[in-house]
Amino acid sequence: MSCPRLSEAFSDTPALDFAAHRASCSECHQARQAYEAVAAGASAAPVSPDAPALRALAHAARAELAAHPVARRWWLDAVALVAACAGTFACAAVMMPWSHSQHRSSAAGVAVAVAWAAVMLAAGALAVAPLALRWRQLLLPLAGLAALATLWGASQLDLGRPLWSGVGCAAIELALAAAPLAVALWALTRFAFEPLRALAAGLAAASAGLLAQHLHCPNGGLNHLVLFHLGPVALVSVLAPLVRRGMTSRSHAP
Amino acid sequence: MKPDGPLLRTDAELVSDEALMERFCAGDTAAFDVLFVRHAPAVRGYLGQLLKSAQTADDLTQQTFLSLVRSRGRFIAGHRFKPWLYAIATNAARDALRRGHTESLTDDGALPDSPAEPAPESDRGLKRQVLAALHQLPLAQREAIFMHRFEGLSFADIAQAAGVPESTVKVRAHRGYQRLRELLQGLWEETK
Repeated sequence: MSCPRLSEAFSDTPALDFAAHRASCSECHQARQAYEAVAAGASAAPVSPDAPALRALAHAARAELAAHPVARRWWLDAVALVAACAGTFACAAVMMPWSHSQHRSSAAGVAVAVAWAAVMLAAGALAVAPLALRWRQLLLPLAGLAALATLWGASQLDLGRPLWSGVGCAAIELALAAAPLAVALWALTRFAFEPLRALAAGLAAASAGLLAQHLHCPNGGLNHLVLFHLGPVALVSVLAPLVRRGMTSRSHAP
Repeated sequence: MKPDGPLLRTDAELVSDEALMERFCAGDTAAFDVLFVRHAPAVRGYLGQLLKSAQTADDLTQQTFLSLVRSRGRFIAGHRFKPWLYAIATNAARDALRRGHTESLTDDGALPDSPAEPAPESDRGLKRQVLAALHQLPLAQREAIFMHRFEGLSFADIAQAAGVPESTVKVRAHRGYQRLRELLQGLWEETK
C-alpha cells in the first residue's frame, strides 16, 4: 500500500515537514529523488546548435515574412466560411420552391429555422476562431437542441411516400454541403488539426443544406427527418475530421 | 497600430514577449528577431527532448517559427506568448509523430539499421536513466513533464498550450511522475 503522502513528492511546494518525512520513508524518498532528477536531466539536454546554425533555422520564417509582410487576421477565414454557408443556403432558398407541410405550424417552422441558422453561424465562426476548447464544446449541445427542435416542430405527415424516397433529400443536402465544406477544410489547414474544429466546420457546412431542406421538403414524417435530414448532418460532421486529418497543415498554430 | 520606433538592442532585453508579439503583429520585423533569439534555443531543446532526435528537432523548430509567422494573425493580444509558442511546437511534434516523420540518428549522424541498443552500464548515470525513463511515458504525460520541469511553464500555461483543462494537465503530470518513479525504481533495484 502506497504512502499517503506520496503525492507531495511530486509537488513543487511540499509541506514543510516533508523533508523530515522523506528521511524516514523510502517510497517518498525515491519518488522525490525521481522528481528532482527530472530537473537534473534537463542539464543533459541536447546542446543547441551554434549561432549561425540557429540563425539558419529562421530562414524559412524570414522568407515567409518577406513574402507576406501583413498578418492575415483570423476572422477573415471565419467570414469566408460563414459567407460560404450562408451563400449556399441563400441560393438554394431562392432556387427551390418552399413548402410548409413539414412543420406543425408557421411559428414552429420559424423557430427551427432560427435554431439551425444559429448552429450554422456559431459552428462556422467557432471552427476557426482562436478560442479555448470549451467554446467549441458548446456546439454539441447546441446542435442537439436544434435536432430536437426539428423533431418537435415536425408535422409528422409523411404524405404516404415510401421511406426510401427520402434518399433524394439526403442527396440534395449533401450536395449543398459540398461547397461550404470545401471552403471550411481549406480554411482549417491554416492552423493545427483539431478534431472538434473539423467537426464544427462539417456541422456548419451541413447546416446550410439542412436549412434549405427545412424550407423546401414537404415531408414531415419523423423517420424521414431523422434519416434524411438529420442523418446527413451527422455524417458530414463525422467525415470532416477524418478528411481534415489526412490534409497537410500549413501552420501548427492552435 | 504602428510600433513606437525601431527596437534598440538595449530595449529588446526589457520588452516582454507579449509586447514584442504585439509589435510583430503590427509589422515590426525586428520584434520577430528578438523573439527568435530569445526562444529558439529552448524550443529546439524541448523538441529534441520530446522526440529524441536532433535532426527532427531542427526541422520542427523551423516549422514552429514558420507557423508563428504564418499565423501571427491568430495571436490574441493580452494572451501569454510562451504557452502559445509551445502549443505550436507541441502541435508540430504531434503532427510529425502522427505522420511517422521522426528519425533517430546514431552518434555519427547515420540512420540506424536496427533499433538502438541500450547504453552500456558504465555510461548510465541518473540523468540518462531519467531521460530514458521519460521517453517511455505516453506522449501527453511526457509533454506535461517536459513543459513543467524543463521549460518552467505553470500548469495553467501548459493547459493553454495543450488545449485541455488545467485539471487534465495536473492528472497527466502526476501520472507521469508516478510512472517515472516506477520505472526508475525498477532500474535501481536491478542495479543493486
